[in-house]
Amino acid sequence: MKNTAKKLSPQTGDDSGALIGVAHNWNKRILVVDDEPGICESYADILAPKKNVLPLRSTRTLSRPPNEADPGYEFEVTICDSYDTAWEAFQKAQKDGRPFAMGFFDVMLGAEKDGYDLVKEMHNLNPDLYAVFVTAYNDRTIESINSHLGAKKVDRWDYLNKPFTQGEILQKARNFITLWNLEKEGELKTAQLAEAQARLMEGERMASVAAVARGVTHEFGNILMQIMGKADLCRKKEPQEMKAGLERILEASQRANEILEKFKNLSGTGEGHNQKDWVFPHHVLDEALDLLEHQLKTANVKVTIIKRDLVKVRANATSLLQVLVNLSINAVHAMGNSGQIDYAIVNDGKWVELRVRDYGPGIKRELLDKVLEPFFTTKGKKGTGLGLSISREIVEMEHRGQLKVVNHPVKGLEVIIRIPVDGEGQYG
Amino acid sequence: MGKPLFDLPILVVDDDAMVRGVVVEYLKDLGFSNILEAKNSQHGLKLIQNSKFPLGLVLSDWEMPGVSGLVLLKALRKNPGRKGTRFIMITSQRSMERFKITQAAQWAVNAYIIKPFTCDVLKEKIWQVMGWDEGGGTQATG
Ligand SMILES: Nc1ncnc2c1ncn2[C@@H]1O[C@H](COP(=O)(O)OP(=O)(O)O)[C@@H](O)[C@H]1O
Ligand SMILES: [Mg+2]
Repeated sequence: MKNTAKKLSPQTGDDSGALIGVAHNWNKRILVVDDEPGICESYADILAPKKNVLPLRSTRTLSRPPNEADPGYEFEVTICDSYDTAWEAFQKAQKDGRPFAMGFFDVMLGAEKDGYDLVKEMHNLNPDLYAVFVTAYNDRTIESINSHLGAKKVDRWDYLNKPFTQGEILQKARNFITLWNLEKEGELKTAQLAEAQARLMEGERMASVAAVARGVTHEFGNILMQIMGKADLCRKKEPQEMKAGLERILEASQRANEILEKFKNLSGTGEGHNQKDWVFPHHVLDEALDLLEHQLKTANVKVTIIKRDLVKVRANATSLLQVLVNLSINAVHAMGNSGQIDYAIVNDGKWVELRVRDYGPGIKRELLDKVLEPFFTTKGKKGTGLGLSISREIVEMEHRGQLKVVNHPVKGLEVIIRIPVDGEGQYG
Repeated sequence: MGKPLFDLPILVVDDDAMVRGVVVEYLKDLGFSNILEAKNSQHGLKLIQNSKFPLGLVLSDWEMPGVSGLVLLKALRKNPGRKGTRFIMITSQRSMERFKITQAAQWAVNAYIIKPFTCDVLKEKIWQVMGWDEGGGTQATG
């Protein structure tokens, strides 16, 4: 997987999105090793026919000419007549970033090392290479080949007996070339998917950062106003008054610094991003409420903390902060111009429950499962549909907990999060 | 014009007491003495709607809980008794999104001013919206 990713991504030095949009290039490179010139000719005829006959040299590369009827199998064939020339061709292919997908290997190469040794060496550098051993007599049992190449390689080799037919060679070549490429395509798709998901997560994180940023900017404006105003006014004042003004300025600067620290936590630019620690959930809640202060005030939302158990949990504070911010922003959205959010932190010794309950319309029963799915939103272009799904991912995958969305029996929506105190949880 | 500065009735609306305090101190420093303070937008709205209080100028924060600065501006423009009253909107940079500016322009905001600002900037804006020459037609200066 790593190999493909590296090979296929353009070397732009830009990590973000290196894979998305990249298409898989079919690799049709075949290596043939046999020390008998006549057999080499047969391979050439079968895999790359109608080619001018080249004088037989130690190594030559042939392509099968384009064939309208069968465009998928224009192999690119390199034929070598010894262990050393094969090893050289192989290394060059690796170095050029154009590895062989498969090879046909004679076993007895008239050298100290045989075809099995050669493949074993090659697997160190190109572990995905498919090898077909072609031998006149079964000099080794399947078990002995297995133990020579290693049990892990069992799906990477096959064998044929000499004399072979054209059909046998073509079939093996087609099968293994197809297998190799389907594998690589799959790996690329998986890597692309993972990358797309990572980007979306980052997008949603930035969306909650942006929502909070508006409030923070407003607050910063106010604080700077105090600082600038006091400084401006103080200039003309007597020392005594000036001193009082300076005190104010100092206080305001400290407040600005505190806000900045919290904001850094949310955006993940501060320290401690991405790691678990012993965390007091009520600290995270306080932080979320501080960040949202302006939003909550502007939307006329009252906050009550129903229960506030003192307990430490193994958690990633940045992620939890993001969850609480996401849920709170959803609650504000749901309630429109005024309302109330109740928060609770309840410890039962093994689990800590965090509850966020609003007094909005709740969610229709048939949509309760839907809202947890990525991209489900009822907010049109303004929503990402990722807030809840990412919150669930953070709670369930990162913290081995549970996230449930339920309608409160009286009114509004309640999101209940359970996190194992010791970080082990249900799967531990 | 030509009216003594001291008498120009000014309403300052901001829910942040510290910011309001600084603006009021600026105004006093500039020589104004007829200053009304509203500690939130609802309070400000009442003062704007009640034409009994003469108002020459309103300085209002834009983002406030409940009633926003835009609502105050609309109320001012809809009140026939407040024809000549100028309105300066105070905002933090981030909230200066385009639609807010166009909204404000639609309702004939006279100027906006971005936090934080110095006394000199406030003076410049006030003089500009009142149509006063620098130092001319006035009795007191900052
Ligand atoms: N507190 C809530 N009350 C009512 N509906 C909610 C609440 N939270 C989320 N929802 C519903 O779930 C949907 C998905 O939420 P979410 O994943 O956060 O994405 P987004 O907020 O971007 O729409 C929302 O569009 C909304 O319909
Ligand atoms: Mg959301």
